[in-house]
Amino acid sequence: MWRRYGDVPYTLLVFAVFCLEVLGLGFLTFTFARRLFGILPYTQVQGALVGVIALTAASLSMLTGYVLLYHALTRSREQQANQRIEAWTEQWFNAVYGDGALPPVPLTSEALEAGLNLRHLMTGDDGRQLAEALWRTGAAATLLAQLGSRRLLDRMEALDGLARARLPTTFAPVIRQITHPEPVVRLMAARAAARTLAEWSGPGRQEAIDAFARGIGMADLPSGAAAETMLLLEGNAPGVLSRLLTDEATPVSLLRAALDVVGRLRLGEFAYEAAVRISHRDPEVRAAALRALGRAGRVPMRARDSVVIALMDDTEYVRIQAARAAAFVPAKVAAPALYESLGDRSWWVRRASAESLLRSGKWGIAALKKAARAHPDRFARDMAAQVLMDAQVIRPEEVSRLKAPA
Amino acid sequence: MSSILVIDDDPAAAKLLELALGRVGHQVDVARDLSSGQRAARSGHHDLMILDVFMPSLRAELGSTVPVLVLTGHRQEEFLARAQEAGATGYVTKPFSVRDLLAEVARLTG
Repeated sequence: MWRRYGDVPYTLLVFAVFCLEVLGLGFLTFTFARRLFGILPYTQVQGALVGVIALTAASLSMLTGYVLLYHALTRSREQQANQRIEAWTEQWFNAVYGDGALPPVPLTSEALEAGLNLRHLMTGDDGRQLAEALWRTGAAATLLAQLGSRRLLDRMEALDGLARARLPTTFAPVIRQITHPEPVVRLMAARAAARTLAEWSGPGRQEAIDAFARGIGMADLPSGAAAETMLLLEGNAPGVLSRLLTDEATPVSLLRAALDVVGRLRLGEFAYEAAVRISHRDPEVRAAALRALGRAGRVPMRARDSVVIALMDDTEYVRIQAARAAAFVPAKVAAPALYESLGDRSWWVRRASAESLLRSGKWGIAALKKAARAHPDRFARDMAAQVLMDAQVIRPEEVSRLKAPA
Repeated sequence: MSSILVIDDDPAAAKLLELALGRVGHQVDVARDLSSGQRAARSGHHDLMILDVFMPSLRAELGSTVPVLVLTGHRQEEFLARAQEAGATGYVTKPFSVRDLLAEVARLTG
């Protein structure tokens, strides 16, 4: 953003220039009209024209001068502010390590900003000491007071600060914002709560996990936003996921998000919870469950048949994920179905099936070689040969030999 | 103690690294952008570089053979594996514990 301060003077100046131009052009139109009807001599029209041009030039010079002056002043003002923030950063750092005093109370906005920036970067024992210092100097109280403001921007700034501060004592007020009518506030509150919960290891952790799981259910966030938020939970993600995946009332979009997080964090311990969703009525949930199994690299024994059956799902993206998850089903169970899937009408399913066969060891590679040679579908033969070549299992010159009739 | 070059465009992170590393006696040079970082890296007197930017070919871009510690907000394994493939010797994820950072620096500067 090129302008950070001075919105009001800039708006007033632009308005003044606009008014001058409107008046000037109005006067010019009036003068020309009078000349047209022969009321005014030509010399007076020329005078009016020169006057309006001079007015325009003065207005533009004023505007340009303001912009240049603004940039010159802002630059030096920002440099000074950065230097003060650096000095505050050093003071916070020294205070955490016992080499100096905490910044004086009440904190200036720059001291608060420096403390929050530092806390945003620090975790572990030092981070906790800094969090405590922020609490003692009233940073939390300042941010919570700002959170109660009626202005949306103030609330958003407060939530951003609280997300950086990650103070367990602010968790409850933050989670209350998760039902705010504005979606952006709900998202920021969920993210701030997740970041606070991520570091929570002491008393009250289970209650906070339960509160977060209830809150994220009420936040009504899009599935992707909910998943990104839950990824911020780090070590406490399994606690929240466990609640969401065992609760029958979890909304479908949140269920998809939870399964996505299982896959992205490779939480193999939720393989069973993912497996039971392979036959869910919603195709996006089925795909998310299969994707989670594929990413976690584990398909429970009782879900193997479901994965194989999902290779025949009506929805293309479900079949793609099923083909990927099938790489983690024993080859003697999955290989025949993957062999058939090489002839799927979707290029993506054919590719995923071939890659899963390749990963399934010697059984899978034997099935791929057989497919390259003898699959009834021409596209399946081509895909099998291509994947074998890409993996350098066969050389390009061997392809024609492989495809030749025995 | 070692000479360490920090390349980080986040003033707070650069200051924290400067303070934390300076506190245990390391000599720290800070570059706030990649081009000044590249110039400093080519001076060749550093024992370790810490940077928060990821480039597909770290070592070639920096023109240096000293160990590179990547400071990153990414926690996903794919990104960390790619950073190592590109020439990063180690990584620390943000937010970090100063103790862990110093341990990693000690390991890399041996």
